Amino acid sequence: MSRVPQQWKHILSAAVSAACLLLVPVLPQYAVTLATSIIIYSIYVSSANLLTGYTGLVSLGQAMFWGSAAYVVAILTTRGLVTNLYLIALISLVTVVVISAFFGVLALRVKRLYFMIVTFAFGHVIWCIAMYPMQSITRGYDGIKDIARPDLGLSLSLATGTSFYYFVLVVAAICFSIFYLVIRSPFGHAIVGIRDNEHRMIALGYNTFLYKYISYILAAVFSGIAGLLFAYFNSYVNPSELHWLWSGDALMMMFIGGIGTFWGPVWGALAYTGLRYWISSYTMYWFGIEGIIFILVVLFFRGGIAGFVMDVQKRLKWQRR
Amino acid sequence: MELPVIISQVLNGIAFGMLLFLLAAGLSLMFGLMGIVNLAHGSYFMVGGYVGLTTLEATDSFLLSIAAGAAAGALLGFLTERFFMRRVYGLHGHESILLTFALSLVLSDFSLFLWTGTPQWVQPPSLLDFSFSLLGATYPAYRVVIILVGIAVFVGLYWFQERTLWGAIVRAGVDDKEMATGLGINIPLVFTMVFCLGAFLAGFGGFVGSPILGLHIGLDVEVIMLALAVVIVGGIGSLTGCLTTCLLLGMSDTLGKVLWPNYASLTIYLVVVIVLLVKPAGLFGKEAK
Repeated sequence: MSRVPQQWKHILSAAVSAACLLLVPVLPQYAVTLATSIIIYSIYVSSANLLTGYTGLVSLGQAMFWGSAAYVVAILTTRGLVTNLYLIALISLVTVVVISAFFGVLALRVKRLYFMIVTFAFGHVIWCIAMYPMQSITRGYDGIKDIARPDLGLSLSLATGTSFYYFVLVVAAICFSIFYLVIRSPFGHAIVGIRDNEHRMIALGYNTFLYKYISYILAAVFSGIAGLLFAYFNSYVNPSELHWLWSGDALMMMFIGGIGTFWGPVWGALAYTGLRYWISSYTMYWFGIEGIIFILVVLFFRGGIAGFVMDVQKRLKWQRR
Repeated sequence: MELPVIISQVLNGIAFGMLLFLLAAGLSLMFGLMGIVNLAHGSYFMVGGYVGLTTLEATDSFLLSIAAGAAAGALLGFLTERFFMRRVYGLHGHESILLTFALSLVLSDFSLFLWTGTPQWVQPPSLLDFSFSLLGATYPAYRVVIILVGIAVFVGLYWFQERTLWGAIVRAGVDDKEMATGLGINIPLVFTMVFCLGAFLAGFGGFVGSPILGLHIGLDVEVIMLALAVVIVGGIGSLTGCLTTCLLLGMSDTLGKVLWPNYASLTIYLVVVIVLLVKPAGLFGKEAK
């Protein structure tokens, strides 16, 4: 095995994963639904990872972008205000950009744990706004249901589970390509530099505030894309999409998968969704069980799945020598 | 607004601020000393309230119930510190957040399992269950007692922190942990004690506040949000600053509910936004963190 060039291995594993992903729709319907949600969650967790794993800003307010985008889709679609998918996407992402541009300026005035508390509080603000002042529009706890699947134009309908799965897959492929390009770009290196040593980056002449700000908005936009997909996928949106628990879940999926690694969020979303699906069928106390799993992960499994895989690879290498 | 209404609302605001103080004092002390944000702090408040309620139903003694609620809080704090937090001090910081987040999930579902999801109300003790009139306003006596209790706790904590050896040790730990360790102070023990004290106050507040706030699943999140807002607005620094911030936020929340019922829960965050714009370190914070 060791004779095979590294690149070939990558190409081979990419081809195998692509084939698996394309073949998911041969599985039963519930598996396709589960796979669709996992892919949507992966985009969401990856966006949080861009901010937390790569930029080093621990945010507990990511759900407000996911939820805001989902609500914009829900409101526009169910009221029949706008029917064009591309226009709806544009409006919801602009909303997210505006919200993140506003809160980003405030939140980035403080650092480290304070940043986390402030984003936590802002997430709560958006939740409260959706719950009370805007109750007539968002329908409070009841949420908004019957969100119709969109039409891509060119007479491509996304009504069936399979076609929607492929749509989500394509969007995810685009998003992950952008993540990859961003992380490999000079911008990506700069944010990692800020994560590791902000003072040094300032000394080198970087405007670190601007880099963090852009990273914050970028993460918000991708969370928004995930939330938009979710609104269509679930055809139902309620305030829990904006709730801080969902922001915490993003952090946890990231942690389970491997914080600051490219594929970690995908592993984390897979493990989380799988566990949730499996455990929820036995008990109503999913949150308690989730908490116990999280505690075990934080105490004993700190590198997450990606860290575990790297450990195993390292050990195998040592043995071969 | 009529004068009597203003008076009773201001008193309500102060009483609410005092409850907030019982929670935020421990939270900001933990933040200052150990550099952790304890998201499970609201759970101590809620569980303390529920344990007190169960004790009240069993024994019919309000004082005993207060003691039970506070003891439950302290016990949870002790367990959290000893078996969980101790393993994540000095890591990045997000580990402590994730750990306490997970603990709050467990405690919330645990409470749901033991006490079900039905909201509960606690009657104030019959001795205090009356109203008196004050400048034309009728006001429940129990709320005045809460204000007095809050003042007593503040004075007690102030005395503890500024006048006792243990207080001096805690202050030394906040200022410089390594130096304090070098002087032979058992810092891990101090951490445990502070955790227990903070959780004790939270559990105490949970039951004492239950005649006003009620008890329901989700109370933990509501109160931790407010306590975190106190930490942002006040900054970590002094006990007096913490109390002042609690009163400020308690007042703005109560008045907000009267003036703009629809935007009630947002008044506090308006204060948060203004403070972040004007003084990011917090009103009483020593320096930018």
